[in-house]
Amino acid sequence: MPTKNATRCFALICFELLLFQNSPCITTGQQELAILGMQNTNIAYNFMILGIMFVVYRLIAYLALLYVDFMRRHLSAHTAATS
Amino acid sequence: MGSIYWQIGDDQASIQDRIGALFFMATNQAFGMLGSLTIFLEERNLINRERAGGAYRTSSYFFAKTFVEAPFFLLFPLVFSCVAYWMVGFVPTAAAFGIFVGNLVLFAAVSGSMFLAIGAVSPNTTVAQILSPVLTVLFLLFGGFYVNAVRRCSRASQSLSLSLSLSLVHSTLTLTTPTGLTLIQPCRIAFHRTTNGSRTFRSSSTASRPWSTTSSIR
Repeated sequence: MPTKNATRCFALICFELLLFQNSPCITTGQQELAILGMQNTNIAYNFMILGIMFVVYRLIAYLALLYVDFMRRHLSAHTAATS
Repeated sequence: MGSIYWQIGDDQASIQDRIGALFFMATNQAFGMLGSLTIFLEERNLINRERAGGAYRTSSYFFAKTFVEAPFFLLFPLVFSCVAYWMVGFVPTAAAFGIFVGNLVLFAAVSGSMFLAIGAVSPNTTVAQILSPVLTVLFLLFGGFYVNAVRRCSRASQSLSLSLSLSLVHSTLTLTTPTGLTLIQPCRIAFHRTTNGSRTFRSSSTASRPWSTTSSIR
């Protein structure tokens, strides 16, 4: 019985050696990035988009402050005119 | 960060640690910039009063605020990166470290600007304090860690441009930091007891097989 078990184990190891020879558990390089959906990542493009977003957010904040300032002036002028 | 992810090594088990550490470092910068929102909300009424009195122009205040905030955008991520990057044990090359620092600095700047925009657009402090965590959670959800980028693209997230920056940062960091590494797949042979009582064993892998990331930085 032990001999039979040892033979079975040896066969199993040989089978796995053959099976995993060309198919590692975790795929490599571009394949792994493709799984993550990042195979087309362009670092320069990402930096550019981040820079644009920085400017856009700042612009939104600036325009919002301008709008608040404009509305305050408009309301005060309107109040002065009506009174 | 440094103590939890201390020298994560180069085996395949470190992949999860690497991606988790990168995502956590990026989100840490976003939450760190929440302070700029609080400061802005506190000084907004004062600014409005001074603007009504004609003390200065809106553009003067805005550019002055941008220049005052710039050292915080630069300094905090830089100090954080100089400590955390080497403690965690990412790729020890100048290019990878430079991209890492640049990413975190830009992301901190974008996050701070987003919170400033929220504070400026919101009618009062309460709305701003409710809105900013909601948008930050959207950042996290579509940042590339919880939802796969392929699945994300196929759904409605393309329209969620607010979440784009964290996604970009995460993808850049994920692409950059493992590049040039050879991750080792350890040989593990585990014994299993079968139902009839006999012992058998199976190997989860063949031998120490290098997992090489050969993708190039574009």
